[in-house]
This record gives sequence, structure tokens and C-alpha cells, in this order.
Amino acid sequence: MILFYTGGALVALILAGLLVIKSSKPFPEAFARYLLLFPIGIGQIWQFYFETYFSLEIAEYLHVLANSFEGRFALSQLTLGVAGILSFRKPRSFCFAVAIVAVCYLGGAGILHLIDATRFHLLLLAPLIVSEIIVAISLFFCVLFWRKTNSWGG
Amino acid sequence: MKTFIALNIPFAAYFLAIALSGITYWVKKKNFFSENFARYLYLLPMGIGHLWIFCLQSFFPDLFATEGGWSRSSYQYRLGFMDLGLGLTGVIAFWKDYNFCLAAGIMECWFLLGYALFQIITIVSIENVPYGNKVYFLSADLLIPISIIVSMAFWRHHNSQEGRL
Repeated sequence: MILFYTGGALVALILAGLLVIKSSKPFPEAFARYLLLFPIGIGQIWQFYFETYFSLEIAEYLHVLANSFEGRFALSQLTLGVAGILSFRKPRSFCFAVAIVAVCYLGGAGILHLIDATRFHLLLLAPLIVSEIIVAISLFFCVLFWRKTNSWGG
Repeated sequence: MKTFIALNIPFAAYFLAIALSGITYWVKKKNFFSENFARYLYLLPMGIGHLWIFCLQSFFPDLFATEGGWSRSSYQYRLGFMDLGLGLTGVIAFWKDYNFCLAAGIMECWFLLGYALFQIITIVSIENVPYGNKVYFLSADLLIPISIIVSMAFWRHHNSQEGRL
């Protein structure tokens, strides 16, 4: 079950990478939009589902105590997920706002997972760390190099 | 007293936003009231408020958890990064266009209204809820998103009347 939780983020990242190859749009824009749709949009809603309905199991696997903050943490994943899906066809400035939150959130989560990496089974946590840090860095540079062309929205 | 001040920063920022948006509208005659109000809501309660909560969650997690009536958790640090992201977005939204503000508003409203729902469930289901949980958090979690929704709706209406949408 934990592999579905952690692997989902990695699958979403790979899917975004594959779809961007087929796109005729400029690379930074297309990749940013697919990152917002898959790893951030669908990926975070996927993790929200697990954090909400399998909270005890996830806490046990990640070696943290189940706590009322876990519900609030799941809510932040849902917020980011909904914003990510909405931003797929929205103008650049809309995506820019979602990207700022996503980079802070995923980058921070990746750093925290890295700090605690010794406590976890690496095979289970590696996809999560890799996807969080790669998505955060990729999104940061895509938005940075995304020129002011709103070819898919607004 | 220190705790009271520390936890009421977002709440105080809300009233400061009302005052500053009124001053900007009537004294400087800049923009229309709903746009000014929305921009100050993003800058103060959302921007400064979330950055403040980020500091509390990251550097004073015990204080934040105790006043909320919860036990300290490692999830607080991850929530702190969400607050950091929302805070930065709120501060930047003050100078950005309608679409940036719309995205910031959607995230803020979804996040805070969800939080408010958690608070209400806690208050209904647990008898001895700490004072902080009842007043500081719930009032800010309801007032700020409702104000953002109303001001954004008027801003959009004004934009559509002027043909800017």
C-alpha cells in the first residue's frame, strides 16, 4: 500500500515527462503545465486520499505518530491538488502563483524527508524524495524560463 | 499576553487591511474599494499572517500546538512550508494582476475553510477545547476567506463592466 502512496508521485512525474515530448508548445510552458497537472494536481490528490483514509498506516510506515495535524496536512495536499488541476489551462500568472506554493511545499517536504532519510526504508521513501525534489526544482526553472506567452489559456 | 499577541497577528492584520484599503480608496482615490481590499487581504492576513504562522510552526511548534489544543507533531514542519508558500504568494499578489490574485484566493479560501471545518468538528466533538482554538483560529479562518470571496467577486464584476475580462 505504501508503494502506491510513494510510487504515485513518481509515476505522475514520468507521465508529465512523456507527454511533454509530444507537445508542440515551448518546453518550459508545456512541462510546467504538465507538472502542475500530474505530480502536483493528481499526485497531491492521490496522496490526500491515502493521508485521509489510511492515515494510521501512512504514519506507521513513515515512522511518525498519527496526530490531528495529519488531517490538516492532508488538507494542504488537497488544496495544492485542486489548484494544480485548475492551473493546467489558466494564464501564466495563475500558474505562477500555484508554482510558488508548490515549490515551497514540495521543496520543504523533500528537505525534511532527506533529513529523516536514515529512519526510513530507502526503497519506500526514495520515489517520494526524488519526485518531491525533482518536481520542485523542475517547476522552479520552468516558471523562471516561461516567457509571457499564454498559448493555452487567458 | 505574549501568546495572545503571537496568535492574534493574522486577526489583527485583517482589521489593518480594512483600514488601509479604506485609506487608499478615499484619500489616494486609487483603484476601487473591492480591488484595494482584496490586495490588502492578500498582503496582510494572507501574506504576513501565513509567514507569521510559518515562524510559529517551525520555530515555536510547542506554543502553536498547545494553543490549538493538539499535541506537537512532525507534520507541523511540513505544514509550515505550506504556510511559507501561501505567505510568499500573498505578499507577491499585492502587486500582481487579477489572475495571480485569483489563484492565491482559491488556495487561501480552500485551505482556510477546510481548517475552519476542522475547528468546528473539534469544538463540537470535544468539550474542553482551549480558548485559542475557539477564538483566534476559527474567527480568522472564517473571516479571511469569506472576505476574499466577496471582494474578488466584486473585483471581477467591476472588471467585466469595464470590459477587462
